[in-house]
Amino acid sequence: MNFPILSLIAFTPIAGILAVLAVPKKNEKLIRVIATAATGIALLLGIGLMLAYNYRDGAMQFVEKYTWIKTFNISYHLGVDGLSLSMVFLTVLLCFLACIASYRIEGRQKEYFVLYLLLETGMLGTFLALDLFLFYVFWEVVLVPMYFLIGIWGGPRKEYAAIKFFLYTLAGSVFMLLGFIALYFTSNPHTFDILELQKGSGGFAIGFQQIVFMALFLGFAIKVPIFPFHTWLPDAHVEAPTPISVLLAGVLLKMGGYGFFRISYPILPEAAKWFALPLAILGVVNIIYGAFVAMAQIDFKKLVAYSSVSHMGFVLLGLASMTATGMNGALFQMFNHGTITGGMFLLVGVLYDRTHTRDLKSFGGLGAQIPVYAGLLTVFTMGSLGLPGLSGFVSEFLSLLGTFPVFQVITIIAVSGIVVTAAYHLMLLQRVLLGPLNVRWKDITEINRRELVTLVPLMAITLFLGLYPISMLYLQGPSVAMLVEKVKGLLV
Amino acid sequence: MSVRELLINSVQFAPELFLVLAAFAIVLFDFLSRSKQRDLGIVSLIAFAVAGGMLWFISSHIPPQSSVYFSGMVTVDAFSTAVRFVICIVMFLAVLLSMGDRFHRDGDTAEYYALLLFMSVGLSGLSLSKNLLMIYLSLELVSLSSYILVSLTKREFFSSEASLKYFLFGALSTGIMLYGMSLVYGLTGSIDLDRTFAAVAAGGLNAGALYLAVVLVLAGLGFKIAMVPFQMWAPDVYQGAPTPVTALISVGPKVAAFAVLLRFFYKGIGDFGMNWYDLAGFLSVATMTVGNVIAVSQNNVKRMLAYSSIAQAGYILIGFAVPSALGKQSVIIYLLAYVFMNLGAFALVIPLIRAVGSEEISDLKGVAQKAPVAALALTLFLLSLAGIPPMAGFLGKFYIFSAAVQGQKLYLAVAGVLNSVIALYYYVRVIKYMYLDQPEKDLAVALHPAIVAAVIIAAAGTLSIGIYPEPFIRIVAGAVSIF
Repeated sequence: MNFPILSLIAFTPIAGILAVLAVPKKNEKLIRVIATAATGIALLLGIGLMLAYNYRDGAMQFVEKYTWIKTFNISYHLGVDGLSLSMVFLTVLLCFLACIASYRIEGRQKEYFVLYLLLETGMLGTFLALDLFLFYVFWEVVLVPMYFLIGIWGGPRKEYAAIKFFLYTLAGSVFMLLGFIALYFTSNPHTFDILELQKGSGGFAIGFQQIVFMALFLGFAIKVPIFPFHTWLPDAHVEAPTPISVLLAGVLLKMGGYGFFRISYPILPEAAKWFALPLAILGVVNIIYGAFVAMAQIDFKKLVAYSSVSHMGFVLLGLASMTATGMNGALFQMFNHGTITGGMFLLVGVLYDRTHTRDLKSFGGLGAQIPVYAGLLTVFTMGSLGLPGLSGFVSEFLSLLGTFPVFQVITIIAVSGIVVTAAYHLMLLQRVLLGPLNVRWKDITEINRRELVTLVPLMAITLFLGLYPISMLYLQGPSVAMLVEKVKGLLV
Repeated sequence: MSVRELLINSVQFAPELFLVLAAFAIVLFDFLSRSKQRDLGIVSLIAFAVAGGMLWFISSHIPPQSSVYFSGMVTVDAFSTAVRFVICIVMFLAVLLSMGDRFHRDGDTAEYYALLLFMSVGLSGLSLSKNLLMIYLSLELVSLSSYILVSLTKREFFSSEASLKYFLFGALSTGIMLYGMSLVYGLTGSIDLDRTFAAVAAGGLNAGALYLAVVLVLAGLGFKIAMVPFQMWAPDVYQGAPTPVTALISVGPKVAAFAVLLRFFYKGIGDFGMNWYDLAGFLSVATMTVGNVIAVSQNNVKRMLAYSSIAQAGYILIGFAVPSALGKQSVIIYLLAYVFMNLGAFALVIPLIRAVGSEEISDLKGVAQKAPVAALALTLFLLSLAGIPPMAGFLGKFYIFSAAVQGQKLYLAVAGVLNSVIALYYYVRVIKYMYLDQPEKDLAVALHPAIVAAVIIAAAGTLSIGIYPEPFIRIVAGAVSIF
């Protein structure tokens, strides 16, 4: 057994928790340093993982497997491949940056960072787990700290948003659990092992696949979120404190999309085919509905929240196509949405910290006041809008390109959503940066160095992947190809 | 039966005999010296520890001479041993809770602990019984002890109301059960469970009458586990009784009653062509739904936990309603988890309601900032009750749902998961007040060492079952293999 780098990544935050707990709660500076160090080490390990990863091989790497609950054939089974590597990297990156953005959190810092680090472990475990039972445990571990992080440090309606998030996600995930149990009892020999289940997937009857697919769909769809299960999202995103919004949008939503890639599609390919058209339609609804609702928002954060709904639609569309191009686009889109929307939420936070409002109608003319901020906001907005040269364009384009041969009409409708997307993003820029200056903000201060540290890496990645997208396709391509080979799309 | 035989037979029951002696000793001790009552808690604690140790020693070193004892009245097998052991844990924790609460007037202390000991003997007897008469006798011993325990703070209005309600409902349900048992005797000609089983298996009995008998016995035992529609007593009794007694009767009788349910239905009746599994399944859904839905609107923490325990019984009934090995295992696994998490929750409710001076959930505002450890521990137990991994309650739910899915009882699984979502709301409501709200007044939560010990034991159980369940699963699988 080689070096257990995956366990190390996943449990570094837990070590951080133990260290934070040992510090008296008055010593907030030390607590912040420890939390930053823990997320920083996880980031370094994540970079190390990226360097050590063999990009030619699409199969599982760095596998760790130990028996856990023998009676049910459950094992502690971790591994990483092209589907999860980018998600793991996204998680450690955003956790580190959002940790720096968390310095301004007010009050009860010790509790905050303990929960924050627990959240990181839960998210990483979800992406690394190769056993359904383990996957479920990590999946649920994410919910608890998230409830507290929204509920304690959130905005005015934090309590409502927190419990809504908790109940919604649990409602989905318990059905997912039933789906897992059904898979266990139907597989022969009984197993929760994702890789074993993938091998034996041909044996599942189509009717059974459909039922289980729908059970898992409930769990994943609420997380993504797919219309009409999205109503928790605007509440949670708006009420959560800035760093938590970043993680919600950047990482938590990806857990749902990742579930399709890792579990639903390879284990239940027939059902995936059966559900491709409905999923494509839901994807288009997400894209267009999300965009229109975003356009109607005058709350900056709500606008970004609904733009998430819209962007995740491209993930669904790419998934539904079941083509290599579309699936690559979908996975790529998940990463890009994490960096770009994560950056957007950080920018919302920067502005809110200075003005204590998110009302778009009250801004205006800030472009001249705070040019660096304006520049950053423009870059991220353009990325979110899908401007060629930035990463969001590539993934959306791939997603549409892969879907067109399969669902032509749907793709055409989806493309029209881009117009709406462009419209609300441009309106956003106009309302915040252009026009006459609202005198209330004449003394507004420029973005500071700490905030720049959180934003510049995300911008660099957006730019890099926009100009050199093949790098990401090298990373995820072989694994996606294997997945497509396995599910054998609709065109074959 | 010769004296020698009697003595040999008795070795297997040394723990129970020891507990009876301890109970008498406590009463006598109290009678002889009025001044040293304070140590009676510790005496009972030691008694239960010793009884548990004896049980462990006997079960691992002295194999039973035969499967039945005392003319077939009781049986010693892996199942009864496991349940007796769980009961020892329950009683041990209950004594710790009692020591940490000190609700009782000094004069009642000896009676209180003696009753706890007697009750534990009754609970053990229920798990050992292989004979309808013995089941009835043990059940009465449990019931009578618990009626008195509930009414021990007789000066308080709610306590008197609670005890009267408990007594009246209890007496009625016991009568119903006795009637059911008499029907079983009338149909099969025996009160021995092996013989009733054989008579049922041989066929030719009036299935309708047998079904009625089964329903009546289920009703009687259903009272003990607060199964719908026999749950009405629970909220008032839970609220009115002294909190440690509430904790005990929410767990102890439930464990023993489920043990009897399994033994009576699977070893005493079995399958007779009329489907009582679906009746149990239906009652399970009704029980969990009623418990959960009403719990949502409760403001009194003890009443909330009462409805929660009704709901928990509903989940466990799923395992009872699925006639597979996994179903029975899930009953015991869930009960084990429930013992730790529910007693753990009560262990923290005792000092918290004392500190805030009220039983209202909304008065727990900001407790997390004043008593972070207590709030954290209570959160752990509540999340476990809600079935969030990696706590024991999740493993219990996992088992229950697995049994339902494996047994093709999808409606039970779906009802179970939907109920888990409802339940999350009211468990998290307590957490919300403790963590999300700001404290309104200064409060000092004093944790008695006994409470601390109980919380540590309960937390260790809750976490170890949840994180590394394999050893527990093996023991339970061995215990249930007798069916």
